[in-house]
Amino acid sequence: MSWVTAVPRCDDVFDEDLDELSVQNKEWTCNMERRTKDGFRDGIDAGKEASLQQGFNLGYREGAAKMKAIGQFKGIISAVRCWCQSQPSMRSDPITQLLQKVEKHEESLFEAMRKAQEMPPPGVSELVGDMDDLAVDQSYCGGSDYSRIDQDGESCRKAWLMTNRHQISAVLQSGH
Amino acid sequence: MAGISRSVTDDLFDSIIMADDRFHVDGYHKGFEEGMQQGFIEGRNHGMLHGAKLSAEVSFYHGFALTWKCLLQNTEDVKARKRLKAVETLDAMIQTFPYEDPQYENLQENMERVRAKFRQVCSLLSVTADFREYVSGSEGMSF
Repeated sequence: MSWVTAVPRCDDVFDEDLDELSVQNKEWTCNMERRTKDGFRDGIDAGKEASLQQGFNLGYREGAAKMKAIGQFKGIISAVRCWCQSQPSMRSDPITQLLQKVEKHEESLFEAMRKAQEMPPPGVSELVGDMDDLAVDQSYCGGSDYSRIDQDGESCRKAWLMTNRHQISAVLQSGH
Repeated sequence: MAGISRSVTDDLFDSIIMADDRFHVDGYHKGFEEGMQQGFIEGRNHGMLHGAKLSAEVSFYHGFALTWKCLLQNTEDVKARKRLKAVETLDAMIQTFPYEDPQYENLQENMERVRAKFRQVCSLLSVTADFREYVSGSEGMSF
């Protein structure tokens, strides 16, 4: 009779081994995911540092070229306006209105540039971050938020316990 | 045989230990590419605003100087000649000023000289150096 009961026990033992393996697998994957993320962040910082100046130089030239014509135009109108005001026979109202329009246009150009600076197009990593926020990646690691990296190992164990709780209780009961 | 199996286990062990590094390096490479793009875009947007501001200001002085040069050219009195000379100096300063080059060493220094010259020109022409006042005064825009 003892061998009959031994069979399911063997199965249980086998199952336990398998579960242990899968826990280790999951922990391993968690750790490697964490390493990849750490590397990714380090890489982003290094990449940014490497290209910021290059981007700045190009942008500077572009911005300078963009504002050259309107700046000169504004200077010309301002000078003419000053001259008109010094001539008693001249009316300076029309030129003042023109100057206001030019200034307004200039300001709108600056505003567009400021907006571009505040809201750069999203990068891949930000999209990944958004996906994390939306919990698209619902693996056993839970929401893999960067700030919770240190808890990932713990959440792995909890997740495993939750999914295997029936088997665990079966093992515990057969032991008694 | 024993030697072979040892080297196999060593390799296996190595690859497990190295995996830590390998994953980090893999992530680093992906991050670096992404960072290069982000940095370039950020730098470009930042640089654009800087270049635009400086260029708008210098170009304004340039247009101002050139126009006054034309207006004063045909006058003969001593006062006008003095004005013309100052305006011509400002024009010459700007023409030799590579303000469109972000790597120009004396950018800030040169900019201060141009500004000082412009203020001098304005006082000689007896005009106010602040050209923003009439727009903000007449439009009444509030933020």
